[in-house]
Amino acid sequence: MPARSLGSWLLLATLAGCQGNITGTAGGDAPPLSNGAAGGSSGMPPGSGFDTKSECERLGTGLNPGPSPLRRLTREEYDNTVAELASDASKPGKDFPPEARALGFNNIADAQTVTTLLAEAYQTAAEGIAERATKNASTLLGCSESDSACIDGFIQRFGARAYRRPLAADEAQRLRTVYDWGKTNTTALDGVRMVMEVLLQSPDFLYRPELGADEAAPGVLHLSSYEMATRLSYLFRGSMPDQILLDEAAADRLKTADQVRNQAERLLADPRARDTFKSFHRQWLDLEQVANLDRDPALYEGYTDAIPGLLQQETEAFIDHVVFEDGGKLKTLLTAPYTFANDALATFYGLAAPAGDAFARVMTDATQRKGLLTQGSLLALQSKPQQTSPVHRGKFVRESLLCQFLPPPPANLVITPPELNASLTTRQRFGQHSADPTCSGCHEQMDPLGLGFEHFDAVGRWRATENDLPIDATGKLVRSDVDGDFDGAAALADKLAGSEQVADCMMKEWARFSFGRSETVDDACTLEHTKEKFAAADHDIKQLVLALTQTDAFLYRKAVAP
Amino acid sequence: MKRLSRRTMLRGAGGVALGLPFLEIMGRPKTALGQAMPGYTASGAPKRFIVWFTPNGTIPSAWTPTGGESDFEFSRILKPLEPYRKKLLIIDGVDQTGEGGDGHQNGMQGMLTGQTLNPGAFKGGDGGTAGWANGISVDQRIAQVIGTQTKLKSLELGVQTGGNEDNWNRMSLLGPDQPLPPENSPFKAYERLFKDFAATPDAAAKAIERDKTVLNAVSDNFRALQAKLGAEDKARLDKHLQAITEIEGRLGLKPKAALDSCAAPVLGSSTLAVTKNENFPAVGKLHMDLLVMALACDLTRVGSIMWNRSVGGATHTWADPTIVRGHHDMSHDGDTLPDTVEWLTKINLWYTEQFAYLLKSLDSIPEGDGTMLDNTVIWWCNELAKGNSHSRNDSHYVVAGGAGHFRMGRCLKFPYKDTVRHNNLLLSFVQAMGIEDTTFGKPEWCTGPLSGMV
Repeated sequence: MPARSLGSWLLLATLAGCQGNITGTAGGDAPPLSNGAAGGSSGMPPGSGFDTKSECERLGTGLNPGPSPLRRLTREEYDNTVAELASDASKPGKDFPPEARALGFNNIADAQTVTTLLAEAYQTAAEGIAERATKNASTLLGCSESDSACIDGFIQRFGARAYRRPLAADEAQRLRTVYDWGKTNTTALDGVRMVMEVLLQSPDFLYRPELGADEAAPGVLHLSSYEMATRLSYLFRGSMPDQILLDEAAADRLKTADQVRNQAERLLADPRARDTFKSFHRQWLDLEQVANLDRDPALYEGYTDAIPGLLQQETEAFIDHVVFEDGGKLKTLLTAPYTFANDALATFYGLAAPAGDAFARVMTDATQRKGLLTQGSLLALQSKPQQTSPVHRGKFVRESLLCQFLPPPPANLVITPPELNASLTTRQRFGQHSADPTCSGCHEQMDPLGLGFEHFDAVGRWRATENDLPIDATGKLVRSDVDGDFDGAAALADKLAGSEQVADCMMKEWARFSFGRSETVDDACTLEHTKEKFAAADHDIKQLVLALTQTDAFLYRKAVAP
Repeated sequence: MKRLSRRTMLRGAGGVALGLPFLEIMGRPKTALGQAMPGYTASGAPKRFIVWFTPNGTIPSAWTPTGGESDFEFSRILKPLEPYRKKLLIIDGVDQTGEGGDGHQNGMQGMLTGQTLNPGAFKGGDGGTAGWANGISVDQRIAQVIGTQTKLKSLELGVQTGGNEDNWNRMSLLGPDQPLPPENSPFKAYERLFKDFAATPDAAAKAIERDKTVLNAVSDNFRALQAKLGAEDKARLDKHLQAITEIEGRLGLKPKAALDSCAAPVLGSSTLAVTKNENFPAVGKLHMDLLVMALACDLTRVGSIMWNRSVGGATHTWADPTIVRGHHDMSHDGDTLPDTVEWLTKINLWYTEQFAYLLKSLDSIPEGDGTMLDNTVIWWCNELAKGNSHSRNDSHYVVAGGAGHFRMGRCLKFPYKDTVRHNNLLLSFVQAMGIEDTTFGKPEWCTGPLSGMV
């Protein structure tokens, strides 16, 4: 592993050095993670750091696409795809088994395993989609289901959209044989259904196979234009290629970086891109978990079962607005002096309320509340039912924004969290962590960071006092490129907004989400170039994603012998 | 209730009403010397294996029985099992140390596999990462042998095991890195088990042919694509293709025989929100009813119920209305907090009551010269011995039924940290089903069947 130097990319990606006095090793340089790689071939532990700049120099000027594992459609992608392919808006994916979240995301190829239960679910979904589609056979076919030419045309037309490329002759023939069985043994219409069932369960539909096209460099292939249409489409639309992409692919015009960029820009301007960004942020920040919040209204006046849903909507509306309506800067995400609320949520927060149920932009007192980190969703998610949790809030910032990991408490340590005490503040109760050397080695990474949020209670509301004692929200950030003391969450947000490390972290998360895999040393230039472009664009998140489409990892794939 | 007599079921399957004696119906393979075949008791009843999982450790001081091996006295947590004393084997002190992952990951993945964890991308509570276990789980090894004749090879059920798949909420594996997801919805499980329960023979035969035609073509498409891909992608598709082949292979297997008690259960309102905390007990009961009927109708012989998951945060207000915190959260508290210790005791006591309900259901179904419970091995396991220490030494297990293999009515206590191998226990389960394996899991961790069990 290369030597680390301060300020290099992912420098602090592993923070295993904080065991402190627990294990007797003093804090210091991070040792390698003990648990190895993200499965598959990458050979790099996820989150382990390497210096992208020096590694990129070492790689030189050749093309280095990294691995391109076979990706399967996520539940969400499946639903979006069948909605366009078969006009079926029933979202069959909701009945699929839960999917693996690896590296925080549900689209990581190495974690996408298939079991009998999933294969059965695909079968059931395909039967349902075919059944519903053939209820209106004349629209689907445009001719008679008993007519041979009609069926061949349908197989070509529907098959090409299902496979996102034209069908080969033998593929069409296999489907025709299936139809013929149905026509003979059940009905012609059932034969049509069977053809659809085969297509919808075939790997060319459920997966995104890439064989590559012509050689771009020794051992490195261009993608075919159809394959590139699919990459672009699932990144920006979360669904099958639209007609423009299919037309460009048919004309073989998705080969050069410029051609790819032009389409990426078009797709980014399409409203569907907003859903992809929503999906990314939902997973990155674990926003789905907000719905599971459970708080006692007796402890938190004004809290109702509707609040968790509103908190999630707030954050999603805010992010959408920042990215697509307000310049899209990472800095804005972290420090915008506004949020989104409807009447009920604003009342809950004690903010000036917009009228009605619709969410609207609401200005905040920026000395108290600014940016993503001061929103109720994240503040409540990183709390306990009856109290805030400085530990979890600190850990969240460490892991999700700084891309650093913390080691566990030692395996057989009996952990006694401080008990609730009506005459102390949370800060006072957690004093032991900094006083006890067994704890402080790690907790100095979390608690002083998380205590900066103490002005927000366990449902994310501002509080000036706790148990009638004044809140002290001073904190301290260590082991980052913006170390230092701060007072309150707004000041912390300002600090993080100026951090290269936070920007690098976001870049890395987007790279994983976009490529469906963990980064490898082969990706050093892909990451380094993206990082430079992200910085040059003043950390505009949309420019970050566009930059990712211009990388070796996105434009090429390694030649793999069958 | 949709009740089908054994005779109807036989007609439904083969098209001909048969009047075979019970044992023949159950498909007992013939042996020259009248010996029990793998998967069958000496009297010819099918053996069954059930895993029952509850998470986050227990409170050992309230769990471990007092007294000796056969004159033991039930502890507070295990008290509801007293009526089944003669059908229980309580095992205290098996050590599952394992390798890889955080305590929960290690416990969860090693519990049924006796294997190390492979590298992977799942974040543990320790911030490190780990993947799936490096081998098949005990239930799936057993299903390979005794699950070949039933509609489902095995049935994995889960009660609010979480919305995403990770190595905290999967315990069964088909092999290295092949986790099996539990079905969280009793209504979907019902569809899987009972939807073709009453099909007419001709319609059923044609439907099978049709499905085979579709799946054959799908399989051909898999193979055609595989021929063009590199080794790693080919392997990815292989697992998928295997699953399709298994579905195809079971198309002909219908409930061909069953006990008189066999009937499609009535589930009630399908609008029950299965992921809502307050519905946790209701979902669990439906799963237990489904599992019992799946066994009674011989739709499967291997099953599991996973309650919540490792690191599960269900708020068990039904165990005590004063509980307001999640289970995992509380399980980290120290032993000196009386409130938490009491709550955790009550949670585990509640789980015992559910376990007793399952035993009662199984014991109420006559089979051969005993009950279905007698012919079944049920193992109550937990990924941790103790929640706050994440210890996996001295695990606290209950085995019920026995399938005519184990000597029941006893409490086995192994000495503290005596490195009594967990893998030995897993091997004992495999052997209890009549399978002649001599090791299980990571070979270095298995020295033979667990002593004192038979």
